[in-house]
Amino acid sequence: MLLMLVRRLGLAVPTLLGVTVVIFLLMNVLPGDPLAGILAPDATAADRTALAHSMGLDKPLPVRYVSWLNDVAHGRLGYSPYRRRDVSELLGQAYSNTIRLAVASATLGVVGGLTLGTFAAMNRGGIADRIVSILAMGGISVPSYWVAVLLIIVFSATLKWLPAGGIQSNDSTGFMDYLAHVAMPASAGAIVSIGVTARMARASLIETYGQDFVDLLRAKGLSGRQILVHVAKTAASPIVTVAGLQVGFLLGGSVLVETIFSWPGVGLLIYGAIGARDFAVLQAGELVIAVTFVLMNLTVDMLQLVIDPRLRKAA
Amino acid sequence: MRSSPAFRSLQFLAVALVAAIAMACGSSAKNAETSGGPSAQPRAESIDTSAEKDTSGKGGTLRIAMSAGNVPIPDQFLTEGGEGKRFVGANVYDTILMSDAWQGDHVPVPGPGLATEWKVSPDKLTWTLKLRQGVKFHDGTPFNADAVVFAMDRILNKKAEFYSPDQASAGASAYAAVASYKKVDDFTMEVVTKKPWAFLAFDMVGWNIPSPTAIKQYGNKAYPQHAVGTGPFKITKYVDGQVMEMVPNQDYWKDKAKLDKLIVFPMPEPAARLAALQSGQVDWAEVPPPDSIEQLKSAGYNVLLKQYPHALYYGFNVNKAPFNDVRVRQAIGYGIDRVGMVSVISGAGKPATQLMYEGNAWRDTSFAGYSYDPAKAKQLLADAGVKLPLKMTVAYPTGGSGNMWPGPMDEKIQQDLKAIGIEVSLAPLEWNTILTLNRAGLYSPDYQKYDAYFFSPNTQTPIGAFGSFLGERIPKNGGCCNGTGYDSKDFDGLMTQAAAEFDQPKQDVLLAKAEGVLMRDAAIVPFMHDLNLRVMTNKVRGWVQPQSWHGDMRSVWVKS
Repeated sequence: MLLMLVRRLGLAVPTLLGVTVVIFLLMNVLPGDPLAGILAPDATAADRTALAHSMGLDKPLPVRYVSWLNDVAHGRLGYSPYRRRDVSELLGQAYSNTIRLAVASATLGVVGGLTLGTFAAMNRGGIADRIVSILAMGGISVPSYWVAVLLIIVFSATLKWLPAGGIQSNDSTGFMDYLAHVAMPASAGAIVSIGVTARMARASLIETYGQDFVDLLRAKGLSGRQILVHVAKTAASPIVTVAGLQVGFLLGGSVLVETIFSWPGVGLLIYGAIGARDFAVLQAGELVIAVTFVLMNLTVDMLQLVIDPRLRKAA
Repeated sequence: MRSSPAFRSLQFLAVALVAAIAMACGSSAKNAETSGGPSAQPRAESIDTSAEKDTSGKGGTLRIAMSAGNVPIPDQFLTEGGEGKRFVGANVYDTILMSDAWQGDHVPVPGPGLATEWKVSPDKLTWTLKLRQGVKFHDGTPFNADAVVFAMDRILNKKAEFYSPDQASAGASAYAAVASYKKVDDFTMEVVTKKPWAFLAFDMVGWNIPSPTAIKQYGNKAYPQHAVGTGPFKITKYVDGQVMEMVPNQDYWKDKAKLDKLIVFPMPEPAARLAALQSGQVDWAEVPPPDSIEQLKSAGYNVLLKQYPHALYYGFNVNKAPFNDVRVRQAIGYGIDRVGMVSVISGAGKPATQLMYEGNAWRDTSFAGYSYDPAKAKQLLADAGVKLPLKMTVAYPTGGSGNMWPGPMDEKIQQDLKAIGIEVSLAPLEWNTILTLNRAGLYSPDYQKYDAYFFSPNTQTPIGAFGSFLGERIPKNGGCCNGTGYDSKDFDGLMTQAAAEFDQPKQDVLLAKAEGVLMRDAAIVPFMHDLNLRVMTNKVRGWVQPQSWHGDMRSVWVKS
């Protein structure tokens, strides 16, 4: 298992390097100018050249890439002239906000998806199963930004139960305030996860229920719930994979959900940075998302080894 | 808790029910909204249009949803464009000259600010500024000529300890005319310009003066977290990306602000701003979706719409056939149904027949401007010998502060021009790319594929309005940013005269003539004036909607 961990970590390095190259190239083939948003509208060409020089943007692309990589390796993520703050500080703040949202979304998504999927599997073919399938399909198909706006119309504008945006009220900072602010963005963000997880849980459980050992358990006189425990253990592996990847997605921050709810996380930070061609923030932000995703993948793989002894043997 | 399958079934039914109810609520809320049903909205007792003039009270907390993506960074030059100045800059900082933005009857003009008097030498190059005495920064330190020199050093003096490259770039145009500056005594400054430059009065309305003590204490990088000016409000809380709180400066040198507290939130999503207003989270929302105007009015909100110096236009590549023919450009000017476009955006705009609207001192009253006349447009195209259908590619922004609603507006133009035989293909670009295009020009190799582009400048200053059409601003002539390549001796000559004319009414006449030349040459074809759409609850009192990009928050209070 340790060997596998080392091997997977080793594989993560070239993956991430590849990601950095793609990010760097993509940023630089985009039309637009990282200085356009900083310069006064009628600043002269000389002003632009001076600013480009002070930001190191006048060097050739490969040189900039290598020097950026070197900086990142030394923990220096750079400075955002657009936000006038250090990127590490900006990202740190945004990432902690995204985690506050992702924890809520993931809890809703995974718990909701698992419960719905299990429920459907146990009532296979019944009306309840069909309702769950429709809801799950709906969750996957409905765009999260549409759900977000709908939630705002219902719970903020009409019922006035929840704040329409932001991360906390001005005068209160307690847990209830957090819940009030996170409820809608977390729900909007969790819709897809609920759908995906529910479908996978249902499929995997139904497949496992069809296996011979379940008949054996039944013959031995185990109760439905006791059988479920055994079935769940066997069916867990693909569910953990899917659920884990969903958590990975959520930790990356959702540009749309965060923008609609003015939630100052990584998604909103990146959204602003794209508009401003704020390369330092974009590169570091995308890298952080990639690292999160790779680590989440790794965690899922390791979890599977823990859950499924067959995989341990194979490894 | 042990849960049986039956109990779980119940739980799931509950979940399904809640989901179904939520969906049903969603659709009924939507219906209510489109039909303007009373159930969906709070209804005030009566619609009060006198809120602007109500000076009967004071106090209260005003919460504003800005359309900006972030809290404007309160450095010497602020971020977030017009909203930066409007909600933070004009509150925290005073400027050397200040405009009379507290009234809404005319476009504000520069007047006394931190300088009480200014005199220009006979050679029209040296400005002597008498500075206001007894003014204090929010940190208690005194304002004087040293503070002005310090602020100018940050932008203009590369050898100064607190020179800031990013502030220098942001402030490049506001200080572009300055050749040198010096302190004469504690309350007198001398500023020398590179050439006779009467427009310096407008430039100086953009010269924020921060506290040198604060900048020295925190350094350039950390200063915005501790920004200190002499303005009517001081910052008490600032969380980047989330919120800024300000309270009145009790030592302000003229009428103090009436509010107890001013709070601004960045909310880039229009639907979210609208919901924040409707749910009572804020009292004031910038630019809600225009189709909500009628519903908001009927629900008792004050919907404010007023003209201010801001026009949207198409700028042409004037060197590219057939757009190098003035008749083709004029034809497009007459081919746009601006009144029809106003209804497309629910009345949130005013037809722009010239760059300056009726009543603006710089409008050329001898030229009627471009109104809808498809017959004339077709005739002009025929005179120019253009083979129809003429294909034209227009670059337009998908968003961006102050661009109103480019998608529907451009589609309206596309439809109108089709009727006169011009087939427009619309190329959506991000706002940043449009800014870059404007810097490089339509004639640069990267952008030659576009025949015209959508732009929306702030036309409150002579340079903001007309600077982009000066020949010297074509990059090959060493300047920036003449996006169209327009190069007219008549226009340039009038602008040079205006820049050297220190008598305001005479300067206005020259600028109006320059406007006339530009409009007749149709290097740009304006189509819409923004009306600065904002909406507030009936409790917000004393706000005077200015004909300006920023107003005066001192008179505002919130009725309890």
